[in-house]
Amino acid sequence: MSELSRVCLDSKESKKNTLRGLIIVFSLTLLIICSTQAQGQSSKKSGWELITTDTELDILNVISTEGNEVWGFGESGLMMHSDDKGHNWNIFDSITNENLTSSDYLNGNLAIAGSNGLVMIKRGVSEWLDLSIPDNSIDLKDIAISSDDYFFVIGDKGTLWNYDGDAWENISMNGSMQYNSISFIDDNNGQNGIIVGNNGLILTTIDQGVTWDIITPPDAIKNSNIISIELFSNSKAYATTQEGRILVSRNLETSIGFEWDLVTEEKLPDNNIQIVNIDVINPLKIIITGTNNYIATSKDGGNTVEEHNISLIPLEMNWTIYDIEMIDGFCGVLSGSQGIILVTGINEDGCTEGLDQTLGFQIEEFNKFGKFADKYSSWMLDGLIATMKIVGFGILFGFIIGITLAMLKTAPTSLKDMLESHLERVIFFSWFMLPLSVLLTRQFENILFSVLVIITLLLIIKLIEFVNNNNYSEELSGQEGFFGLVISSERRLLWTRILGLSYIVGIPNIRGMEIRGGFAMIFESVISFKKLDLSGVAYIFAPIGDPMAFSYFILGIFITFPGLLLLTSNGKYSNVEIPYLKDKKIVIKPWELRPLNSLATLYTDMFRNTPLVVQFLFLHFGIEMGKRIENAADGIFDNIPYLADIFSDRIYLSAICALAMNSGAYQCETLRGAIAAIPSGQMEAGRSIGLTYLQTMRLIILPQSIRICIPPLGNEMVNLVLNSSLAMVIGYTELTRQGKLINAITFQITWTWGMVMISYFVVTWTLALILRRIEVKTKIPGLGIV
Amino acid sequence: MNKEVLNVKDMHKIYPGGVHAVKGVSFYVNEGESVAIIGSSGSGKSTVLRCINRLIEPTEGIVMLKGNRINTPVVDINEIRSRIGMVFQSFELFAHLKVLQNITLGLIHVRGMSESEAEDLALSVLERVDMLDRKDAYPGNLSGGQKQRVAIARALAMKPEILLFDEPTSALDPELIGSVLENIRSLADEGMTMVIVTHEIGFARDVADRIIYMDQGIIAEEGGSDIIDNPQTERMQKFLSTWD
Repeated sequence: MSELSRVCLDSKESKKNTLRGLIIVFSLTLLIICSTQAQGQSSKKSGWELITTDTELDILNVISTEGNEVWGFGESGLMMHSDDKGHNWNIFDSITNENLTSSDYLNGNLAIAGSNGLVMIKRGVSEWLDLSIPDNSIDLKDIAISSDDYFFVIGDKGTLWNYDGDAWENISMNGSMQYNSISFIDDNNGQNGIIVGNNGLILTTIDQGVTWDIITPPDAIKNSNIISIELFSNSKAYATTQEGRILVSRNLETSIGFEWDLVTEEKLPDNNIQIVNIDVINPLKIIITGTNNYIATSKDGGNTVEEHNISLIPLEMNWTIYDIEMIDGFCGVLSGSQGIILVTGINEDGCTEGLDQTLGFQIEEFNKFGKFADKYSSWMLDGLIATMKIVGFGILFGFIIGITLAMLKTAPTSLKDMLESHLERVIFFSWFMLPLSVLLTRQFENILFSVLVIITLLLIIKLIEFVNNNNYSEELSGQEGFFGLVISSERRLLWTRILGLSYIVGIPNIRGMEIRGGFAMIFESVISFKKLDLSGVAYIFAPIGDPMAFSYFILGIFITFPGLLLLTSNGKYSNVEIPYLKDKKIVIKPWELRPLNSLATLYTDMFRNTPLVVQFLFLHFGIEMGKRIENAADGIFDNIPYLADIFSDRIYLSAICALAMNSGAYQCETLRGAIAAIPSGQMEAGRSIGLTYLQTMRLIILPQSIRICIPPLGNEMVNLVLNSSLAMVIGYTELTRQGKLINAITFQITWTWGMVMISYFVVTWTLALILRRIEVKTKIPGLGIV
Repeated sequence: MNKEVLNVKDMHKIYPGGVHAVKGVSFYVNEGESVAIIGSSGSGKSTVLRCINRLIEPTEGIVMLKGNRINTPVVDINEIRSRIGMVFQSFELFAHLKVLQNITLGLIHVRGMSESEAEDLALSVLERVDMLDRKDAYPGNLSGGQKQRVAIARALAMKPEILLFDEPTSALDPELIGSVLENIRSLADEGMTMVIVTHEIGFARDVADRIIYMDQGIIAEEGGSDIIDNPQTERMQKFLSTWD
């Protein structure tokens, strides 16, 4: 015998060593792979095209007027014009030597402002008209036309001038203010205007500049310089600080500009970049530009900005993008230092960049896989982590659900046992606990609260029983009953019938204390179904038509059936025999019905007979599982950031629920099979030394059956990992969806999906290895084969 | 001295399939007495034994343990069972637990003993059945005889008021039977109250104070160990003749 066991041990030892070797080789390979620097080159295509102009001067601003016309203005009186959306430029002879810093266009009026107080205006096709402000010592920073002949300029030291069609008027307020940008709304007769400046300065007018209100900026940008402002519509205005934080003023009721929200939480990562301009294409799509070749787009109204990669265009590092002008939302022009112009690419369909695409976003052409993998493996990793997150919780909760269901399914508690051995207990629960829970739910309109109360009561009862039963004495304690409550055997039948009657009739409506009995529930739900006005076969969809009525219907059946059975009981628990031929009969065993088993079967049948995708869709969109959990947990976990994060992501919650509930149904069947595989003698042996059913289950049956079902359970877990890819249908960004996104950007179909496949393989294979190891570790001699 | 430990009155068992396995069996067991139940296969002896600790519910009849009726719905059957030890034909050791844990399990979870207390007691009963050296082995690595001795130790550790043996040697090789029977014999000598269902006629004669012969669900003959040598009824004579 000892020889044999030594052999066993030896083989186990060698198996262990092989496994250890495998793991070491695997991790070494991984380490080598990870530490190798990816090599390779990539050529990139940018969404922007470089246009060469015949000037080296800085182009300080561009503005589109009518149609395809674009004007550019710059240093030393540089004026340029294009009539094909910025692709070909015509440079005019200088009519001034001042730097033209700013321009504005409204209804055929094109106004420019520059250094030394220069203001010029061009009405329609007429020549430029000099309208410089009287004080020519002021360098003007920005100009804004509020209505046809009415405009404003701002300059150094808080100077603000207003032209009313006849003459300039100095309406400067406070010399310590430093203005940066001014913008007036294009409609509404130009009444609404905003000026922004250093140290969080915001001024707003709603009477065309007669009075200006100083607005308190959001706290976070109190000391920041607000560099650029654009009034997009009469309900939205956007501004940006020098650090690239975008502010928005949305006001639907009153005029905008009075209340500001900071939408971009993060500053730019690079301190060297200073934003100079903001351009709003639509309320979601915003472009900001700045020094050091900086251009970035936000596609979500400023919450996140994404930098364009224009490094492929041969620009010097310190190039500043002074201005961007989107002509029609699809085509745009960028101007910068040293006479450089960039335009969005044009093909036969017009501009290639549209609102649906990331403007100026690169489409990289990878000629080496290494570069591709290097860049997108982090995306893969993100997806993998997201997958592991739902898989981990899915396995955990799935196992808990599965084991609970398997216990319910194998529970031997039939109606007969319940009444025979636990009549007192059943009466207590039916007449006290159940009504209490119903009334509590009704009173507080919160099912969670009543569930908590019931659980607490149950725990108290269990505790008292535990204390009572642990007083083991040498003498027999005799009859026990339920807390000394014992119904004598002559009376049992009577009480059984009364209990049955109470199930059927419930509590009549007295002072709103009504609790409906089984009959009433069925009756009312049938009436509700009738009201749905369905025809024929459409009645199978009644559960969705009136879910409340349906649940009452099911509940009603669950209550009425035992009710009737108890009411007609003769105390013998005999089978019902219906003869249908001379010597044949149908035998119905109503007392053998196991309520817990029925409940579990209902659950598993639901989840095993519907597709997982539909379950995802139904749970997330249909009944908004994630949202409900999120709302229920609202504020509870505020102090635990990790949990708070989990409970605030409704897609994540829904994904976990769907996976766990589905997997639970399957794991239940696996576990049930394994429980059934344990010889019945084990249960008898456990019971014969005095363990309760649950103790025997927990201490003897389950430890053995779980060992048996590790291989099928492992299968189920691998399935769960693979099934998790379906979470993409509800918008959960796991590995597969991540793959789809990468694909959408790079169009590298083979590489992308190949990498996704390998990632899945690594995860499931590792999982399988771990399970194999667990199987070897928990192996018990004499249980199962090999 | 003649204190009655177990009394079975008019026990009937009808299985759900309709088989009437036990048809009115009555007997008693006094303290310190060992009673052997013999009979051919299907005579209902195992059913009677299982009905005593209600692993099978008797359809009718009364089972009294120390004067208390135990087959009513209202008694705590788990407590009753912890007072009635049982040894099975196929041992039914808990395969995932070592020998020592097999014995301490009931002590800890039923008797509420601490782990060290339970271990002390378990070691002492293992010594009694001469299995102390294999206390850390898994049941799967034990021979049949050793398993059955551990099973006896497991039942003994609960300090039962009565010990039921359900054909304890039927699943054993002939050369392994000896050690198990030796253990049971020594228990009888120590005055353990026992009911033994067995096919070992010779052993029954040696050990049992009284012998009950069952045939077709009823007690056909009952008496002292001498009835083996002088069977009164024809049926028992026939039964014994097949064993010689």
